[in-house]
Amino acid sequence: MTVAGGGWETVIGLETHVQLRTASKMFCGCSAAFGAPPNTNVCPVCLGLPGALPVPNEQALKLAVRAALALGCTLHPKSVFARKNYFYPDLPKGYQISQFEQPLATQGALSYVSPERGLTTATIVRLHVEEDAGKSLHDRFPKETAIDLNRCGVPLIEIVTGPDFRSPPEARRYLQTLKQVLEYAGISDCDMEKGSLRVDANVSVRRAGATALGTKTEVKNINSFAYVEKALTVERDRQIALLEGGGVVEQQTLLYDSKTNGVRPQRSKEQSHDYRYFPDPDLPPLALTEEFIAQQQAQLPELPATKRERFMTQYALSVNDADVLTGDRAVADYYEAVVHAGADAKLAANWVINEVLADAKTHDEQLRVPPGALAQLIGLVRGGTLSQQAAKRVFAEVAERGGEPRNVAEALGVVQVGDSGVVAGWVTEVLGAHPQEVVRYKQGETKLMPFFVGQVMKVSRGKADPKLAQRILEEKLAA
Amino acid sequence: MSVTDEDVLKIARLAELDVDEETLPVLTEQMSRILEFVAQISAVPASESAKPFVPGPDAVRFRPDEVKPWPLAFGPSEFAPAFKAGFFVVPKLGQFEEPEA
Repeated sequence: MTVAGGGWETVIGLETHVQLRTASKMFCGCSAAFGAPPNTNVCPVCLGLPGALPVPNEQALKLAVRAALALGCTLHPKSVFARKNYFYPDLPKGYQISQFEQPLATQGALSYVSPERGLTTATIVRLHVEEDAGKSLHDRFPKETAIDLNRCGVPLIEIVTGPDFRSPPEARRYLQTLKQVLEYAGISDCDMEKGSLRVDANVSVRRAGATALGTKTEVKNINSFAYVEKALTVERDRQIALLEGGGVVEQQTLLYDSKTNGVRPQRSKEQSHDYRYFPDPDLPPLALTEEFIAQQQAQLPELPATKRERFMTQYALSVNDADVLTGDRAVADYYEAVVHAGADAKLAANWVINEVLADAKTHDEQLRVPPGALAQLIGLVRGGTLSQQAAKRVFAEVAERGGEPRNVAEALGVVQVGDSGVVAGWVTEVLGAHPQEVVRYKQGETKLMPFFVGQVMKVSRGKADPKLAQRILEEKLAA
Repeated sequence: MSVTDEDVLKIARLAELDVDEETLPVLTEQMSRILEFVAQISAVPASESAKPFVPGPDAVRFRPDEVKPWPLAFGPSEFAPAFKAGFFVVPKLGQFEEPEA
């Protein structure tokens, strides 16, 4: 059990809205692209004009079914679109088309690595399809709220977990794992900054050991992974302070404010949260055939958890290395391409995790060195043609300007020299330049050997074969 | 099943409708009659021979994911009650109003 300070246990459930990767909206042919000038991607359907009728987007349904399958959900052959009624300026129809009593899928699960509890499973209570509302901009004009309806009708899935998380870092880790799965399966770009992935959290606390849940609050407006943890921590601490001061937690919806790192009550969109759901009379039930489901199953790629396991067995990698390499599908594919191009699996893992990902981090996540080139570079190090140090220079050069690693190494003049006569010359030069260290070494201070090897590498400008240099150093120092 | 005055007032509040004292008993009586009528229909045994009639197709039909917007007869700026710099505008929503200085 993970217990917050003072013997309190935190209980968190998450509702995640994920925008599906489609070209057009859920029920009309308007573009679903982000960033168009305001109110330009609108039509009679998404504006809710009289007489306009919704027609569902097939690709959106395919992606939603794939998401449900990726999360191990039970898909229901028949689900029903329902109207969720509330008044708000960014919802021109006065209702959102969603699913309520008969959702697309229920009873799924997602395994993730909790920072506190290790491998843990979150339950997916339900997954349903719905349309997005428009966007209200409150800081655009001083006395008015600006409404952009481009987002109205963009297809979403809502993924609801059970009250399964016991700390804010755990909730964050689940979300990162969920994002990984959805990105792998091509369901969404999951870009929180564009609003493609949005999170609402239900938070409560209870005394450690208690079985009944405490009164929960709903925290909204969490728009980055870093804020997930901050917002949940702030709300957990607020509730604990309230209860310890003799107060009670009031069930309410709160907005997280990242500027102040605080929460404040949201004016309710609907006084009683009574959305008066009823089946949408404009939309017959959504019926899924076994064939349709099987087609979507066939479209699913190998998912991160399965890939991680396979990397551990097939390439004999540690769980941590496999976890890093499979965190992003493009990186995993790149790693496998390097191995398939002939590189040693373990060496390739080290190169990708250290050099390739560090380079990608500073270059817009681009994997700039082609897999074949990296495999060749690793081979040059393994064969003794390049030192590790020289190989890093070659890597940087290939990343920057391209080219074959062997040619680049020659052009840079860093090909390792294995001629013992030449290396012996560098060794003599180094020993002559450091007489005091030679005396200390001969008096038994053998830990100076790496110093001498380092000096030989420096004098040779990285070209000396370090193993050969060490052997010659040992011979000369023993004489 | 019958409807109480409280039920009617709740429904009215959710629908943002004002119901006065004179209308309340009328609405309560009418809504109760509607529900009683529905209860009679529900009493009919549903079987293969008495399938409920659902107008239209049994299942929803899809459209391909293509950007083909249905055009508006007039642009939003022409029918919006208030429109500024490409946005519909409404009075500022309560929770975002700055406190009075």
